[in-house]
Amino acid sequence: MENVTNIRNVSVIGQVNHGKSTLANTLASIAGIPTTPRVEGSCCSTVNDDNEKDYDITIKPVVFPLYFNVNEDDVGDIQQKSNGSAFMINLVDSPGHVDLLPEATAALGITDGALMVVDCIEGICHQTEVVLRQALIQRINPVIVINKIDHAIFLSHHSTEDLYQSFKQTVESVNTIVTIYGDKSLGDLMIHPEKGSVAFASGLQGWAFTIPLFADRYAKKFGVDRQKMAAKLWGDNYFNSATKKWTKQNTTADGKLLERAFNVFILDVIFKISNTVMNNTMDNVLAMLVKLQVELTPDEMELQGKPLLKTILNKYLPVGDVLMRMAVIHLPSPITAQQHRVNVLYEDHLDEECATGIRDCNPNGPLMLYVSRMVPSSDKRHFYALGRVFSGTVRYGLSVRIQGPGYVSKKKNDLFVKSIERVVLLTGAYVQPVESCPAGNIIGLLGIDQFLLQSGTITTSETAHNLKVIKTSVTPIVQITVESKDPSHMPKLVEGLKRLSKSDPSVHCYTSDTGEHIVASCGEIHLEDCLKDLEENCAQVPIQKSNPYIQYRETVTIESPDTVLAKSPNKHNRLFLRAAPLTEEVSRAIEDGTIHFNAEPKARAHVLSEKYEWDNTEARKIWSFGPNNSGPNVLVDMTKGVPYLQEIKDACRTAFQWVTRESVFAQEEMRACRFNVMDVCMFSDAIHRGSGQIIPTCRRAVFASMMISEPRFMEPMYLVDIRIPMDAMEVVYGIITTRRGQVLSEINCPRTTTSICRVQVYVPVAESFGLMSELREATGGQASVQSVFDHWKMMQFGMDHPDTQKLIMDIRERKGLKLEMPKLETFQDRL
Amino acid sequence: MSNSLSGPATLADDGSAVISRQIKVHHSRLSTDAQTKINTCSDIYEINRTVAIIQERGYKRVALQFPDELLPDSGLVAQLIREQTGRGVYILADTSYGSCCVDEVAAQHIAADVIVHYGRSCQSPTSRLPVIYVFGKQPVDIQDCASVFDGLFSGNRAKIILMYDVIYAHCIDGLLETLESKMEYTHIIKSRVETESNLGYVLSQDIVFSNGSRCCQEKASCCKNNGDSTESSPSSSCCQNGTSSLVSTCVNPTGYPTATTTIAQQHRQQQQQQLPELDVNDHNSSAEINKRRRFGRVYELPEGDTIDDYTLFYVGDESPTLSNIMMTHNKCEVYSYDPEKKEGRLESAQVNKALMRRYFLVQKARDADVIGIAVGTLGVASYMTMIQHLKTLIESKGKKVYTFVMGKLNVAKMANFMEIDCFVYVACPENSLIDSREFYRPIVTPFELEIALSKSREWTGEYITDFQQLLPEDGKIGVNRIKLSQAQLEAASDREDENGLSDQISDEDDEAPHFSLVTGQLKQSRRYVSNKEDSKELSNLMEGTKDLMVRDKNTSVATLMSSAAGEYLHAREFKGLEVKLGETHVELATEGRAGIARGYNTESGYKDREKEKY
Repeated sequence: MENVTNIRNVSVIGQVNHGKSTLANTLASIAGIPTTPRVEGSCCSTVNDDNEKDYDITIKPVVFPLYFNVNEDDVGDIQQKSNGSAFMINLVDSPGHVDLLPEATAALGITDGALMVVDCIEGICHQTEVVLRQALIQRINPVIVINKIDHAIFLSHHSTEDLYQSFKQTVESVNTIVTIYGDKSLGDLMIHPEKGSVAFASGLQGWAFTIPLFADRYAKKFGVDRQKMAAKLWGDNYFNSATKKWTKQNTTADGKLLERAFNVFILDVIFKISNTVMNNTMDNVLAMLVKLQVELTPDEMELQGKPLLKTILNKYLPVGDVLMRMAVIHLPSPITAQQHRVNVLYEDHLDEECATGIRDCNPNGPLMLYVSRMVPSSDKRHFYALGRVFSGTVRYGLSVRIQGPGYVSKKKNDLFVKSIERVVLLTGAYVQPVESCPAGNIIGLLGIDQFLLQSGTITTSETAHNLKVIKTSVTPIVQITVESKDPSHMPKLVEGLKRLSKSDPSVHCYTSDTGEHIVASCGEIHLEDCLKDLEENCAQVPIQKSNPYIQYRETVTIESPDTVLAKSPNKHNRLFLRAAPLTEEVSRAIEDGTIHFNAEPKARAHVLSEKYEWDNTEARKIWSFGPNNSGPNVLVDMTKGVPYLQEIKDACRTAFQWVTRESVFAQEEMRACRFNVMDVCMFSDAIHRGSGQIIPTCRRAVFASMMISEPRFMEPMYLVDIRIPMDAMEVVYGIITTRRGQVLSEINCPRTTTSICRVQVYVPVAESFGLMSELREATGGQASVQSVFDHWKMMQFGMDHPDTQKLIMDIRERKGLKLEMPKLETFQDRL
Repeated sequence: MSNSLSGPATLADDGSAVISRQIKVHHSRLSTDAQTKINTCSDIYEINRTVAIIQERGYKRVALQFPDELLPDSGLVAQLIREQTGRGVYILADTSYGSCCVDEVAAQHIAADVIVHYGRSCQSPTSRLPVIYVFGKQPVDIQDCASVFDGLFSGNRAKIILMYDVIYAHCIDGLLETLESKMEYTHIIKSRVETESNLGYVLSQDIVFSNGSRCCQEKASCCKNNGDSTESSPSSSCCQNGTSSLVSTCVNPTGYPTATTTIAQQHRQQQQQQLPELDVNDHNSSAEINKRRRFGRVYELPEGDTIDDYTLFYVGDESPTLSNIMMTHNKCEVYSYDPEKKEGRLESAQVNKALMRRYFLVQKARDADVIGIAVGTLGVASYMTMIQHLKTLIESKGKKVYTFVMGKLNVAKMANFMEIDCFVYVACPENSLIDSREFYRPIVTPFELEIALSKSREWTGEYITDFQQLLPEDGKIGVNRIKLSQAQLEAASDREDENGLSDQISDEDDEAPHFSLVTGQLKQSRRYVSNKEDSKELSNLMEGTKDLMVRDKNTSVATLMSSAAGEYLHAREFKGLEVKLGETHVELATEGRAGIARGYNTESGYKDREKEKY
């Protein structure tokens, strides 16, 4: 733990079903870490503290520390400072499901390298791409594991060349992303199979290889330089066995086709092993084993067929060694990584002592620790804060400053000074108390969970800023109302909701203003999991839930034909407003933070005018973004030389935040609306133009201007990725059409012989409930469906269409509002 | 709008709007014929009873309080009373609070001895003056009501409590008789309004016995000596008589020279002249569980029954009274009968929603750091105690409190105080429930604030609108009471400490952020040092010199962190006109715009608009 140069913090990322967890578990079991929590009551080995018995010390495993001794030969390959050949790899598993993206990103933040698992047949998926992008932005180096090759090799009867091509394609697409998002200062982040930063693995069967691994073996056999050999084993290199010469052409001089070296020297070997084991007698197998230098125990000799194959490959190409070697050689140690990462983590204050501490990964510097998530202990009473020490040393009993996400340097908000109750090492399902932990490690802390919801910075320096770790948030579009079946269980339910939102960053629990408890998430399936978790683990009371429903957005489609006027309650002040739609590009830019309210107004105006064709002077006079000061609606000051304008700005902003949060038709949020303050007439006496007069007026003016600008609803759309067999196409299309789906693309996966087809469709979230099960049913369980929120789509009909009216009334009823359409007259005044 | 309105408009409103405002009045049911008119008037407004009481007690100045809709009849009523008693009779304008409450302050302007309150009443006990309630009798078609009743309930063995709007009180006995004798309902329980006998006539009759503040002492000892008095405490320098009427030398520092007692029950009053009788029914609900009193309504349940077994039948139209009854009896089904429309229906459907909405407001209140107490009554007994109690509660949580006297609430008024996160409205039960959707900040009731802030109370679904029930039952008014509540709060927090897992944890509990159900995030409370808090807090302040903000270039004022308003001002963009001494050139004053914002004189169309009304 102290030998920081020999630590690798690695997160496992990748698409769901690509075998991340299988791989992680395989690795963990090799390292002898039990992955399931042990039976309660068994004795604790390292615990001497009586108090410890109060805490159940098992957790859902999240971190696997693996110890690994590198071959003497390989030490030379490590391009960074290291000390000896013993290494520790902290493997952090992260969820792959698209709904759990925030959790996956959180895991990235505390590691320096990413082990990206890709299914060799499906290739890089949307989800993988997103996570990879995030990793690169955070300056985390990737290595690739192309997984499930057992499946490709043994089951689907591809030709070796086909396999090579699909591997190559995966590598290339990763490298494309790396080139776009990778930081040049980090040097070469591209992955090179011939250098060993790509592993080919079967997580299930427990074997894996890299090209250098084979290169080594051949190098010894043929007596050539291993690096030269490795270079030959990837790319357009062919070995002419007749001439014993390497060539770049795939044909010989006499026109004979040559096999690619990768295919001949690597894939064919595996094929041969497979064939021998499956089809031949034991004698042949034994002969082969000698060649392979694999020894089997007598027990293992008894095996037949597949288990035997698995054992042999396992010994011949041990997955643990291969992957760990890859991590050690190709991923940076904390010391190396933090030199670069400090620029991202501590962006604007690089000359301060904390930044220096992080850059040097200095165990004696000020403590800087980033808590990425809360891990519930299995007794459901405590949370371990999982974090990474970037600088300094964290000790038991140390008094620290806990800075929540809202903390701003030198202010008191979101700041707590507390001492750490316990420092623990998380090893799989166990925790192991330790005295202290120096910079560079991943660690669990006890006693701070009540001060942080999910993430935060822990430090000892009073001048420290928050560590900037990118977090993705999901738009919680699907909601369910929950209620305890027995009203007296309500406090438990509330406590359960608190626990749920602590342990899962993708879920949002709150109370609607009708007083109902709402659990919101981005997908129906994830939401169901959450509710199950809530009922069984977090609250432990029976709950009653509503049908899922979704959020809409209210917007305008045209610029207001007239300027609307609203008078203040005392009639002495007047506000003239016009509404206009924002373009989708601007809205998206605001939503993803490219255009941000806290940005410097001039710079922001520059971006707006250069990129989005705004008038520069108007762009400088944006008063507010809403809702939450960051949403995709803007209030723009278009007045010229009006007195008292500065005075009412605060009140207008407040009103704007309010209206964008609760718009006029159904009190849904607004989206993509721009409101221009055309003119204001203020009363000369200050007492009559206080916020009390302005807030309601501004609110009415916004509503009125919205109503005359052909308002519409926007509904959330899923991008649904469906993989189905060709012959089920028609059924699927039928289902999609009835659900108002829109086919985006249809790709026949060329890599598979069974004609699997990949269809991408947009489906309104409102129509998506039950889509997955319906598709599964229709295709006999063969469809694989992934949906991810993609965009807001303008609904077809205006507000006066009966369908829309019904929708409005439904929402209004749910929210306990008056069951009537808002009237323009109530908001607009005449001169 | 008058044409004279020009020039710098400091007084913009000529008041014409108020004068021309349309008010919905009850169509006067008095006939045009003079004599019949007087007769009906005497009957409906119970002139004889009023006169009798006035004469008996020897009141000199009588204030008549009418709600706006009854004002047309006020002249005649005043005339009749004046003629029959020969006393000074004054008509009060409608109150600045709810017209259901007795406006003691207005009555004090004319130094009235007694207030006669007409129309719908919330029955909130008053603190200073004796009050005669006259509800005004509204007719009910008893036969129709009974048949609607029969239609709503299936079996005649249903357990039903009969409730009613006060204006229909006079017919309830008739209705009950019809139901019990003709339709054979056996399990109907009638609620009384304040009294057992003489239903609907005398609800509460407050009598001034004598003048002089020394009487307070005498009365107090009198209460003590009297075997019937159960509530006066020897340690208290004040006496409380039931809830209907009370006096406090502390609450009323000017020493308003009255000692009042309640004679709630007329027959007893006759038996025990001059001896004050306490309404034993009221807050001692712990002693007599099955006797309940809410908003001046008393009903008695047979032993072994709980209120949840009953269905309520309410005679009267939609009114705050009804919603109040529904909120506080939210576990019961409530049916109503509207005597004007002659319709009966099930009301309880919306109650759950209303209740959940209140629950949300509780969550909002929990998140608030700065709380405004909006005083919406100057009449309801022990409102001062309540305000003190709330202040203590809020400050004990380290939150900042401001007190506002607001009269009737409106959106514009409340939005003037943007720094306030949440308002708590101290008013009579019927005016407390405000749907604050249109308001910039939520408005909660004292009960809700208690749930939000004090750990000893939890949201159970039970709902209390009458804030007097919130004050501890043995509570006494005045300073003692306040001290008591402080002591209780401390005791409560001590208890919490003991209950905590360990000292350390409970220590942290105070500072630990809570999980806000409004945002779904953790919410850390800002802590404000209250100037009333004891030396511990003060010394903290002295130590924490860092609490003082350093004078910097932007602000010319050093702000103390514990001032919520100061902090808010600091965050605000507009901080008032900047004095840029020496930076601006001296210029001659020029004439600016004239007129008012809705049409400056210089603007085109000014002349046309002059003719326009609002």
